[in-house]
Amino acid sequence: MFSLLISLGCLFAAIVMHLFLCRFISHSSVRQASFFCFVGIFFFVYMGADSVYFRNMISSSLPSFSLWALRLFSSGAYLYFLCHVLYYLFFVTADVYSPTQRILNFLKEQDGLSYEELLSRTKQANFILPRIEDLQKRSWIFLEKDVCRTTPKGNLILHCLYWYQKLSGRPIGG
Amino acid sequence: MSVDSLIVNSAVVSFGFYLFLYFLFFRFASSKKIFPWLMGLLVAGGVFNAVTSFILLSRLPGGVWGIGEKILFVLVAEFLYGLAAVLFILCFCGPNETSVRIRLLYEIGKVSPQGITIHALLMRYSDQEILERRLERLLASGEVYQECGQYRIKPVFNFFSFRDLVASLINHYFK
Repeated sequence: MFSLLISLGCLFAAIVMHLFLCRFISHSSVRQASFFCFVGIFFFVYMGADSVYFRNMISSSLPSFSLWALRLFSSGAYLYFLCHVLYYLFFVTADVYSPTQRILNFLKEQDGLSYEELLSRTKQANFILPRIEDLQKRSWIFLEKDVCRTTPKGNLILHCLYWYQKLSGRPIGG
Repeated sequence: MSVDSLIVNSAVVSFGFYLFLYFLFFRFASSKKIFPWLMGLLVAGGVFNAVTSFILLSRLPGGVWGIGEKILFVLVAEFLYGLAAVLFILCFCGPNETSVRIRLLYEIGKVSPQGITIHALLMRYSDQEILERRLERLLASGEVYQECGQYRIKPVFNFFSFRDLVASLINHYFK
């Protein structure tokens, strides 16, 4: 339980640190800042504080490598990393990039919009072209003379998607 | 076995059970009813987790942990299981059902290796389809309603309202 409490404290510290950093960094660096804050806090604060607990409880009977492995896979570490990914996907990614959230924001800004007005705003928001650029940056596709093709990395993701669809029986959405 | 590893084991086994249910039954969910199906499967896994962790904790040597502490451990196991299941939904189910990037990659991959021009890609997947799919889902979930040809937000409190509340607090205090 001690390790869970430490992880919750570290999680809070990492989120506050990330949000504070977000004031000073560019929009494109928000994701990287999140990663550095969480990994930094984990190794310098969580592992340090957790070592007190492990040294007192079980360290005497275990070799140092097993101790490190045990600490990395303890419920506190598990909780910490799950919460980080959840924070990243739920707040950082969804709040900044999600088209559904943007459409809801259009409706929040002006109560009552017709389909045509929503479509016009969706076109202005330009959801597709920046994502094609992003796919290129991630090296999932490449553009040659205005023709898009998948890279080996993109093919690997498509392969995973194929198996996910085969297992779950779900068609692609979008 | 320590309580710590027992909690993690229970959460991991329950997550495996959730995946089994997901791959077996989620194929029958219509695209409009995705959220109720996901919640139903999540609750089924949660019930399994509560029963499993309570049985495992009951087998610990007697007298060490009281009933209140055992309930607390079950809640921690539930929390870990819930996080793993929500992460699975956000990392696998969500991108397959709603991601624009994944859909674009899929459309490009369909005509591999000859490739596709951006113009042809926009004919296959457009802003109109992005909007229509999302409006369909928002209408089905009850977050948005249509009145006299106008779309409006319906004030409902659900799982996403909590996210919106926290996001608005973050925006208020840190941006």
